[in-house]
Amino acid sequence: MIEEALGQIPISLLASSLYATAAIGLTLNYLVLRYADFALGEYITVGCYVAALLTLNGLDPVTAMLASGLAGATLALLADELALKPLERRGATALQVFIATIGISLLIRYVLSIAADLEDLLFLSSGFRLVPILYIGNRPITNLHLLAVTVLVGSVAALTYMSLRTRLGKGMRAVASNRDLAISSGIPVWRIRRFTRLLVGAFAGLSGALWAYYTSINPESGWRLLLWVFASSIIGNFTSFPLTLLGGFVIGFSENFGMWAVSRTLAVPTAYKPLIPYLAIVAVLLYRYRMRFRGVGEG
Amino acid sequence: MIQEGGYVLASSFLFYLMIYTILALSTNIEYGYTGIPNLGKVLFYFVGGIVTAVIATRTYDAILGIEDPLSAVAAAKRVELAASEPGLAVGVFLVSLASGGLIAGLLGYLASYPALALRGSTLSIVLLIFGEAARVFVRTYEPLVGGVFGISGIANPFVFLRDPLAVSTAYLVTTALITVAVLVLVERLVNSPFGRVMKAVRDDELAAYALGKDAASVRGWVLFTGSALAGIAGSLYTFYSQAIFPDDFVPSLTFFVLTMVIVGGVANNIGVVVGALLMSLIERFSQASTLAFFGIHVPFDISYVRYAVTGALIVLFLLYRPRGLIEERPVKTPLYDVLAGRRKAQKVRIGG
Repeated sequence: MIEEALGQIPISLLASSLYATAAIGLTLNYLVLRYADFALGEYITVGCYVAALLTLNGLDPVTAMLASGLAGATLALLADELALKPLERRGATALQVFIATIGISLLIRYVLSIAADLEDLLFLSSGFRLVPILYIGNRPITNLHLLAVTVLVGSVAALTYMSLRTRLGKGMRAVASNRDLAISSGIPVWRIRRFTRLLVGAFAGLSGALWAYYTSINPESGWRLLLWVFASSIIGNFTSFPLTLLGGFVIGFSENFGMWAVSRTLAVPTAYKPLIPYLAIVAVLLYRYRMRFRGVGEG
Repeated sequence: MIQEGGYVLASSFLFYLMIYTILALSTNIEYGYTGIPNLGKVLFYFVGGIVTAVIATRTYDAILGIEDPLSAVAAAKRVELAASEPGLAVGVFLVSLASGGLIAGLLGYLASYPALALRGSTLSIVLLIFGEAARVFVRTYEPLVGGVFGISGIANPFVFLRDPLAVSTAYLVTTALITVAVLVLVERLVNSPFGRVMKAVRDDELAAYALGKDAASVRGWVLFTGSALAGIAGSLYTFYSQAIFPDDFVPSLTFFVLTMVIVGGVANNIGVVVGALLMSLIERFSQASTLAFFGIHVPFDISYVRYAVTGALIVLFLLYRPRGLIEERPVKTPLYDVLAGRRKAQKVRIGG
């Protein structure tokens, strides 16, 4: 029993790190650029494919992962430069920009699907080899789990360092807190926008690589993960990085550890696994709604 | 039983066009007129379908005393009963349609509850996630409508006509009447005083509040109406296909319907009908069966093309024609007619 419970920790940790890494990018995008990017799932998918194909061709996993980050960053930048930025310059509303990201998402996903179908790559497993390092309960912690946690810690550390120490990072914070003031203070808003997009895409690409190392992938992998990434950001209210991180862990742990606990105690079939995080989101939303309501009453 | 291939193609095209029209109109009153991006549209469509499937199968099963509702024998028995009892079949149809719409509508009203705390994109993602949650639940929980394999033997209300051609035509005409009724009702709604409040909430919520219009309640009622229409569409679809499969109700359908509104004309009902027609044509010509009919074969799954085109259309229209093919018209009010010179100003006694 205890063995099994502990055994759920590695997989929960992996899923949480993956969701949190991508969700931090999503929250960053919302803070600096003021739109939620639906196409993030596609940057993840591209990251998946780049990592899987490169490792299958003999490249070492860490380099392949960095290449995934680069691919995700390029795609994110292109999407913004070619479609979203022109859209905002034409005076589109925030809602229209959000709908446009859905369009971009569909376009990338299904162009990728056509390419994958032609090349016979609709289902693909990476060339990553799991090496058990340490046993917790009945399941091992492998090199992949270590890699995932390293990526998360690295991303958070890089983002923190940049926003506290570098001009670009400080500019990002300025744009996030007051865009008009940032423009009038002479902060290069468009350069910061490009830089933010690179970061967002890179985070998504990195988490895509981790997913490809964990399981087999298809052109819809990123879209499937996107819902959980969004859920993490929703828990963080799209504004708070610590809460977004927490959100990633709430989703990752409720999905795996929570499902195990529920199926163990209430004999719920594991097919309901995807429903557990949904319940977590509902609980968080209801809680927040109540707090808001109370706030109004007191104010 | 042999029908002419051309008739089948044409009737199924018309049927889907009408279902899409209802869905697109319901999206239009939410997204176009009130500015609510309801990405959970497919959820309410699905709810209408489930309610219908539950009512239709449970009623017949209770009469027939069927033990195993999922079996093919049970499905055949249900259809046989419906064929011999026209009154029962039509009654079940009407009750399902009404309760499908009502329950979906109530759920839509409930969905406006998080809308008080959430805005714009966050709300739409929450609705999308709820839709997926519902689909996952229904496809896993078999007692409801048979899980992933769905349930069949949901008898068409006109099955007593026996002749498949007559059954299909009668159902098509019924659906057409309902679609026209929905179009007229929606058009009346958006030109009513409430329609103007909807636009006010969309254009400037704060100003609407200042004029004493409660935006939260407006959103609630709009989501009720939109979701009820989606529920009715789901009910009609379930009687048409005479079965329900949870995996038919994926988020891509929501995006597909949203594209009809964006392409056709945001906040213009005629434009939305044009959009529905255009997207239905795109759907038909991205089906392997249609292409095979014309002797065309492609080396990949052609349905990918449909969604890639959908995505491209969304982006291109938002960039180059954000109001859609047919643009929004000013609201029809007596004052507008006076200003446009179409009507003479009348003296109005104030306070009398």
